[in-house]
Amino acid sequence: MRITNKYMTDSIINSIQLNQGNLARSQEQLATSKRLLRPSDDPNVMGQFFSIKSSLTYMEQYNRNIDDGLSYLNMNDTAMGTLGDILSKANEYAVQAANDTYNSNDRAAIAQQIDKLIDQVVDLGNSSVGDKYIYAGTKNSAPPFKRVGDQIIYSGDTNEIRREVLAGTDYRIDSPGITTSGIPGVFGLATDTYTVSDGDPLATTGNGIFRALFDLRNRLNNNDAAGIQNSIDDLKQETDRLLQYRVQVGARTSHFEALQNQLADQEIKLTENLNNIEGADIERLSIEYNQQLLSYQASLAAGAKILQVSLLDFLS
Amino acid sequence: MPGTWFGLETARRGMKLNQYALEITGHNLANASTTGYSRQEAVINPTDPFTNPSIDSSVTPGQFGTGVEVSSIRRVKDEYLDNNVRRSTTDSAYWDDQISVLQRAEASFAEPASDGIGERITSFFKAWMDLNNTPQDPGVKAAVAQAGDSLATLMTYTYNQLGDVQNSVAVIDSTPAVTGGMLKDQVDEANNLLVQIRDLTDSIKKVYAVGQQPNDLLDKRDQLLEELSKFGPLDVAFETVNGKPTGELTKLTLFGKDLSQTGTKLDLVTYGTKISLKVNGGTDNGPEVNLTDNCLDTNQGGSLLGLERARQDVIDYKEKLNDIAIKMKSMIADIGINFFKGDLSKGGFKVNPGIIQNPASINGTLAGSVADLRDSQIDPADKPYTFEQYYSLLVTQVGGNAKGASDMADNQTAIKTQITALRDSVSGVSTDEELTKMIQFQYGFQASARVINVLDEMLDLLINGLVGR
Repeated sequence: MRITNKYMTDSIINSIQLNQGNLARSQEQLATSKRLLRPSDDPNVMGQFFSIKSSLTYMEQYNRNIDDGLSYLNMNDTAMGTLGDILSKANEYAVQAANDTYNSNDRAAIAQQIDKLIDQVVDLGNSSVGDKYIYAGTKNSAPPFKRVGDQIIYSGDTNEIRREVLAGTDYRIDSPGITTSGIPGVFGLATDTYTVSDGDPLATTGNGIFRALFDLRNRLNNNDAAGIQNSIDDLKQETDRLLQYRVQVGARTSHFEALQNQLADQEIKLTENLNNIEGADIERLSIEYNQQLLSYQASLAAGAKILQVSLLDFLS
Repeated sequence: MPGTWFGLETARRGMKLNQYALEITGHNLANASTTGYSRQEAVINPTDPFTNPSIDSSVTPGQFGTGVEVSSIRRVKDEYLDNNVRRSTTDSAYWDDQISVLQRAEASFAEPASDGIGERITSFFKAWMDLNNTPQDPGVKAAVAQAGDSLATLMTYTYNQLGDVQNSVAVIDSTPAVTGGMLKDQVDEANNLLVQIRDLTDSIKKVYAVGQQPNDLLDKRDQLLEELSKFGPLDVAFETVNGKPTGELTKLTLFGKDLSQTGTKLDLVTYGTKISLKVNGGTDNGPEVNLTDNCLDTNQGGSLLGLERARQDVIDYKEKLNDIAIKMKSMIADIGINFFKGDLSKGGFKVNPGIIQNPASINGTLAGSVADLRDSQIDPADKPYTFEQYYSLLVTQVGGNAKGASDMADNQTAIKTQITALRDSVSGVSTDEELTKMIQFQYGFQASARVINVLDEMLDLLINGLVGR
C-alpha cells in the first residue's frame, strides 16, 4: 500500500486520540474509585446494581423497624416486671390479711394499700415509649387506662401493632392491654364498650388483674376471710398469666435480636457484592493506567519524530 | 535531417514539458493537506514523429522523434473505491449522530449517582414504612410529603430534559410542521449541497466539452457527494459517451428517490408523530421516505434515519417514565389517598398541593398498604414488574442503547478509516514522492536547456564561423 503524508498524520492523530481516551477513562475511574460511572459503562449489571441498592436501603429500614420493635418489647417487659412485683406485693398483703390474728381494722388498712396498688396498675397500663402508649393498640397517642371511682375505662383499641422486619414479613411487637373475648389481655378482659371493671363488688373473678385487686380490696373491707383465700388463688392465676405474656415478649425479643444479627450479616455480604459490581479494582487500574500512560507517551514521541523527517532534510 | 532549427524545437519542447510537470508537482505539494484532493499527473506523450509516410517522402533515415508534450493532466482516482467510501460514510453517520443524542439522554438520568430517581422511589416507600410505624406522628407525615415532592420534582426535571433532547432532534410545532432541530438543519444542508453539486456539474460539463480535464472541480464535486452521502444511502452514476466522461450525472438518488434534476428540494413533512422526507421536483415528484418507520433499517443507514431512531428512543424513555408516574398516582389513589396529581406528559407531575400545605391530612392508617405497593406489579398483564424493577429496566435500556450506538460507531469508524486509507493510498499526495519527481523534472529541464546551449554553439559556429571568410 502506498503511504502518503496524510495517512501518516491521520494515523498518528487517531492513535493519540485513542490513547488519550483510554487515559481519561482510567483517570475517571481512579478518581472516583468506581468503574460504573454511567449506565452505558455496563448496562448488563444495572439491573443487579439497582436491586442490591434497593435491598440495602430496605434493610436499613428493617433495622430501624426492629429497633423500634425492640424498644416496645423492652418497655413491655419492664412494665410487666413491675406488674409482677405489684402482684406479689398484693399476694403478700393478702397472705398477711388472711391470718386470723388480723381484725377488721387491720384489714381495712390493708385495703387502702390495695387501692393504691390499683392506681399503680393503672399507671403501668399507661406506660409509653416516647409518645406511644404501648398497651393502647393502634390508638396510641393518648393514655388508654382511666380510673373513674371504681371504674376502669379503656380508650385504646384492640388492633395489633406490627412491624415489618423482613421483606413481606411482619410480626406483632406489643401485647394486648385488654381483649374483649377469649384469652384475657395483660390487664384483663373488657366488655364490648371497653369497660374493664364496672365497679360492681359482686362481679365474677377471672377477668383480670383489676378484677382480682378490686375483689381483694372489697373482701378486705368486708372482713371476708374466706374471700381473701379466694383472692390469693386469683392472684396466683393472674401471676401465671402475666408470666405467659412475659415469656412471649422474651421470645419475640430474642427473635428480633437474632434477626438483627442476620440482617447485619446480609448487609455485609450485599455491600461486598455492590462493591464488586460498582467499585473499581484499584490495583489493576493503577497498572493499566501506567501502561496507558506509557502508550500515550510512546505515540506522542513516535509521532513527533516521524512528522519531522522528510526528503527536504536531505536535499541540499 | 529535417531542418536546421529542428533540434531547437525538440529541446524547447523538452524544457516546456519539464516546466509543466514542475508546475503540476507544485500544485500537488500545495494541496498535500487539502481534504478530498486527488493528486494530479501529467500524461506525457511523445509528439508525432517526422515524417508521415506519403508519395513524396524524402529518403532520409526516419522516423525522427520530435519531442514531447503533455497530452492531458489526469487525476489519480479509483472510482470504485469512492462508492465504498460513500457507503461506509452513510453507515458510520447512522451511528455517529445517534451517540450524541443518546448520551445526552443518558446524562438526564444521572444514574448510578447516589440521588437519582431509583433512590428516591425507595426513599418514598421507606417514608411510608416509617409512617406505618407511627401513624399519627405529624413529623413523619411531613417527611412523607417531602419524599413524595422530591420524587415528583426529579421525575419532572428528567422528563423535561428528555423533552429538550427530543426537541434538539426535531421541533414539531402545532401545525404540525418540523420547525427546527438537527433533522431540519441536515435537510437544509442537503438542499444546499444539491444546489452546489448542480452548479459544479454544469461547470464540469463545459470544461469537458472543450476537451480539458476539470480535475479540481471533479474533486470538489466528489467531496460534496461524500458529504451528501452522510445523510442517507446515496447512489451515483457518471455519464460516459464513447468511453469518455462528459461530467453529467446519469443517476443521483437518495433513499432511491431521484435528485438529479435542477431545482429538486428535500423537505420534512409530518404525519401525526411520524416524520417523512419528501422530494419536491425531480423526475418522480413527490415520493416520500417515512423516516420514522424506517429508522431501524441499518441497511439504508444515514444520519437522518439515525437521528430519527434516537428521537424515537427518547420518546420511549419519556413514555416509560410517565408510566411510572401515572401508575404510582393511580395505585395510591386506589388505596384512598390522592397523593399525586397530574401527568408528566401534560405539564407536570406533582404532589397534591393540599397535602403539601397540610401534611397532617394524610391518613396514617393507610400507610401500611401504601408501603406494600413497592412489591406490587405495575401492570400484571404486560408489565409484570415492581416500580423499582421497571425503573431499573428503563435505565438498563438507556445505558444499553447508548453503549450499543457507541460500540457500533467505533466499529463503523474503524471500517471507514481503513477504506479512506485505501483511497488515500491511491489518490493522496506523498510529499517525498513529489519532491523526488521535482528533482527529476529539474534535471530534465537542465538537460533540455543544455541541449539548447549546445545547439546554439553549433549554429553559432555555422552562422558566425563561416561568415567573413
